[in-house]
Amino acid sequence: MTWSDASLIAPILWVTLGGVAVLMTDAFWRRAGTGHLTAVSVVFLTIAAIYAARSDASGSAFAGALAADSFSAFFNLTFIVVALITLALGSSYFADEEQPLVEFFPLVMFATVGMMVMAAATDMITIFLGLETMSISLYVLAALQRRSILSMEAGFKYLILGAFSSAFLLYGMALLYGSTGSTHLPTMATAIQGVGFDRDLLFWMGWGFLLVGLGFKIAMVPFHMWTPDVYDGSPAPVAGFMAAGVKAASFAAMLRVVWTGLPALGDMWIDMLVVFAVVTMTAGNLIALAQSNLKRMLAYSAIAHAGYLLVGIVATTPSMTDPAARGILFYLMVYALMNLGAFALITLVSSREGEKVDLAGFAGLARRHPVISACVTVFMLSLAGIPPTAGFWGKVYVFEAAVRDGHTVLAVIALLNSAVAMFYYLRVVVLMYMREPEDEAYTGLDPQVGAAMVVLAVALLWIGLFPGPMAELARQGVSALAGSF
Amino acid sequence: MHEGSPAEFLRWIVLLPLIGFAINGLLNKRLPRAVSATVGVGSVAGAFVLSVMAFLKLRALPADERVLVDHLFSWIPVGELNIDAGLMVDPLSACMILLVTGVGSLIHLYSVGYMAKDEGFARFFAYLNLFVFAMLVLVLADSLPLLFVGWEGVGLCSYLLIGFWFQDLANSAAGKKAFVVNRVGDFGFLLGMFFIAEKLAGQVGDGNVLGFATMAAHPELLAPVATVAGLLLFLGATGKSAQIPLYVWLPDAMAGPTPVSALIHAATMVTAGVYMIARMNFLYVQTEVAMGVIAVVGLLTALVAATIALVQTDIKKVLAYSTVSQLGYMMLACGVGAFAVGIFHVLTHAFFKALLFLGAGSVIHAMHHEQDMRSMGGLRSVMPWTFRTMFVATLAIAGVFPFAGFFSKDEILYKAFLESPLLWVVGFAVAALTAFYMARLMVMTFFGENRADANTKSHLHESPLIMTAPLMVLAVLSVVGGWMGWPEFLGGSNWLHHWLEPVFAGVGAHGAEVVGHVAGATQGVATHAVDASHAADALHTGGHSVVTEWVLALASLSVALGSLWFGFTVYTRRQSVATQGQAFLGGAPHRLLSGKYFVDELYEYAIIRPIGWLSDNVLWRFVDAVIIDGLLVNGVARFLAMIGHVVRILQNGLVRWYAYSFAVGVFAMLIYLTRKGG
Repeated sequence: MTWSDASLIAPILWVTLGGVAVLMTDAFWRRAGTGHLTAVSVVFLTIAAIYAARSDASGSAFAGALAADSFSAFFNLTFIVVALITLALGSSYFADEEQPLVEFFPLVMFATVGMMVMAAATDMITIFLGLETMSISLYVLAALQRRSILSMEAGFKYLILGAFSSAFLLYGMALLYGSTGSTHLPTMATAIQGVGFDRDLLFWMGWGFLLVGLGFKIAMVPFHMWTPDVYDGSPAPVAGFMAAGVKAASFAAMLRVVWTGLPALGDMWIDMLVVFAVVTMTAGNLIALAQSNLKRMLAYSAIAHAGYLLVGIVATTPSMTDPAARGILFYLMVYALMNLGAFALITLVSSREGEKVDLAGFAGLARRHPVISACVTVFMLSLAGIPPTAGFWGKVYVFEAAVRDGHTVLAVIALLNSAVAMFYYLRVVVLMYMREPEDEAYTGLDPQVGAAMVVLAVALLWIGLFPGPMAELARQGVSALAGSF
Repeated sequence: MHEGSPAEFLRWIVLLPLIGFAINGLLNKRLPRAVSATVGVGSVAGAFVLSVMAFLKLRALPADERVLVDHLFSWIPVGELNIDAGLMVDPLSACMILLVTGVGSLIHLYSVGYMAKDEGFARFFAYLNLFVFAMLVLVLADSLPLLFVGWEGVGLCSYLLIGFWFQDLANSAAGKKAFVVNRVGDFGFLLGMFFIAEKLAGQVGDGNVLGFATMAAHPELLAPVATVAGLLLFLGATGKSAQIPLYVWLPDAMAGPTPVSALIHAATMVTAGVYMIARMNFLYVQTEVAMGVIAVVGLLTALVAATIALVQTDIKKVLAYSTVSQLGYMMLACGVGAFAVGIFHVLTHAFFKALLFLGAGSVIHAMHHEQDMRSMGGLRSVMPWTFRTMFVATLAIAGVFPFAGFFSKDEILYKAFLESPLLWVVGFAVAALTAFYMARLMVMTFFGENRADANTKSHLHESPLIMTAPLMVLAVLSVVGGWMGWPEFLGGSNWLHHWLEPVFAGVGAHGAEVVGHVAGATQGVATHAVDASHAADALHTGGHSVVTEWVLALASLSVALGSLWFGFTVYTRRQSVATQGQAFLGGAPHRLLSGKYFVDELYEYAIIRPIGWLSDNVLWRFVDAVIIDGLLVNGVARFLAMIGHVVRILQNGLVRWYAYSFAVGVFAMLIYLTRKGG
């Protein structure tokens, strides 16, 4: 490790240091409360964000294992934003526990480090390292509420199935190494230009297993079965963190991987991905329709959104001006914001009344909390993809790219799916505004969570009205990726 | 078109009314009335000051560089369709922002007095400010989509303000009618925009695809869709500017408070259609068909509305039909290619029609919200200032020299005459009708005996200064406002024409600018083949144009005076005001006119009822109940229940099942990959 390597991955290092610092604070300062730990984390995340935003240095670090470019910078910023909001939600959520669950803070930091490594990785080994760093932190986070049987179950299920999928991922990587002779993505990209790879079974099986491993993390059907159980059982801020961060990180890794294989052999497996996209979004939306529990509904909605994003992957081609990849980046950032918002609502409700997140509990919320309800309306409209919210543009960019790429039927299916999804998102809004509140409906208000929700809603409306700057940021992120291969 | 000098203060012209809206809208009744009024009037007055600054800055530039731009942000970057949000002031929009903020300030001021006792004082100013914001976006937009944002914004405000007193069902019904009728037009507007976007996207580089500058720079790309896009956009204009066939909402829109009628439904919003067509002149000069349609529709509207105005008894309805009729004149001007003259009439009409409405509001205010002229009369002595100012406006709208209306109307008629004497004849008849119904309105309101009940009579009073002061300012403008277009044959310089010339440079030879610019016209011939015939006409008529102008001007002046005199004589001498119209016209024609040609009834039976029947019997009972509810909703629900059953087997919380499903997926994928790859 040289100084230049260190400076290239400065944001990752700062978050790591932050995680260590939080651990130390807790260990050596007995009276440190969640507020102090949040403050320490926020300081380090902010420093990391400044490094990520301002770094114009780009290059390859650690002999090609990691890349610092505008692609990783875009995702670093996304993950830091996600982590900041998760901490804001979590610090008030866990403050009420008999024994403060201080492990939450370092674990979120380390999971963020894992995500950042995944987005920066240009070597399969580093992807795996990042993925495991992230996942192991998340297994613990899911089971954080030791006294809750649901939380324990969530963590345990996630661990077993996660290990199962990691096995596939690792095996896939091994096969690919055997086939191409390298784990370094750009080297692999050059290797498969050679003759015979379209008929190399070793390569195709490796490719498939790799896809399974990443598909598990993004909740691609049929590797999605863990999602509802884990989201349902995990503490609400953790579930939001999973939905927003894990998805973005896995798609970042997927984009890097896909762009090595796609240019040469894309037509070989693209229709397989089309099938996955269609099945994923359709299954997600149809099952979400029938949910009466908001957390489970959002879990299936997360599956459906993975399907929309796969549409973007199908349409993507590595070029400087590729609208599809730009769309995916835009979509992921927006998706993170709106999902965090939706899970903030759950945080608000469940932190005071246990884990009661039945949809009926939101009836008449608008009467008691007009501002919160307005924010939730923005999140739901954005998830449904209705202007003037940011979610609309995410869909426009991805679907438009699909049509341009000749996948018109796929885009139409995605649009029909969006129409179906409208029902369950708007049902929340209808319940809030048009039903009488029930007696034991939620009454309290946590100012910290409320403030986070207002910030998120304003951001979504802002991006929805002025998508230009965010689209430009996404374009820059993609241009680096296109240049690196 | 010159690419423009940057001027970042333009955004504040738009933002000030928006801030005013935010303050009055959010704080609403928590604000004291004085604060609401100050914010409401002040924000528009501030915008007016900035508009004057923009105008002065523009005037200091050389004629062909008179464009100020304020690029705001990249708005819709989707693939090849790149649309920026930016504001632009050129000579045309400079006229419009001065009009909107200037007349707007006066009307805001007047409203302070008019709405003084109303419950929704702050709400009223919030809506009014929002309207000014949207209208300014409309005229300052540098691209068609942003113009459309303003277009929809003013439509929304119009709806909100027509139904301002929504407790009365008739008012909200009127608002709804305006909204729905406009929706038909807006659909046309959107389609027209899509046709243009489809031709331009990917053809004009990375620039602002639907920006006016971009479109004007590529007229050849627009040529294939000029007629269809032009007609569709014009359909939008018939909605907003109340032309046949979509004019029916405007008379009903009089349900709103009178300042709203003055600002939105007379001076500004309804002229948006004319503005849009003038703005898109580079498109319209390429299509003879659309231009012909615009001219004929404009003229017919002018005629039809003027005849209906003859027999209305509600003072605001007379003015509403008069507005429709005058808008027809403006469309006629655009249709014969005289865009600058159309805009000229927009400006002068704004002065005198705003004045007429505010005057009528003053009368209504005094009469305790009585609007029927049959109950008025003799108000001349009670309300001297209202009478004097409205009399000035009457002379202006009738077209008496040297009041404002004379210049613009006379020029429209002259341009129509150059296109075809037939157009002129009809336009001339409309001028006669206009003078007559205005004379009728003045006599019934201000002359003779007062016919109100005793209670109202005892409370008659002149309006307070805050209401009469705007009337006086507008009265002055109704006199001198036309002088900016003092024609050359009367020794003037026709300043407005020269001012607007850069905007309509492409029109060059198309009839509009020919007067005294024959040399300039020949240049246009070279560039625009379409215009060749008109240029020839221009050269032909150019020889005796001064004589023709004199003859036509004297003719329209004498018909205005004659018709006014005739109206005054007829109505002052007859005793029974209620029956005179009928006696004068005869039974059947009177019934036809007072029934407004039964167009509302025609629409009711030809469109609304069939749609209602279709919705009721086909869409609801069959499509909704049987297909959607029965087949789709319940069918899907049953289907889902089935899926749910299957899912419940799989999604049973048992991790081993999840792993099985996982494995099945892996096997399916492997089979596919080995068949494909191995």
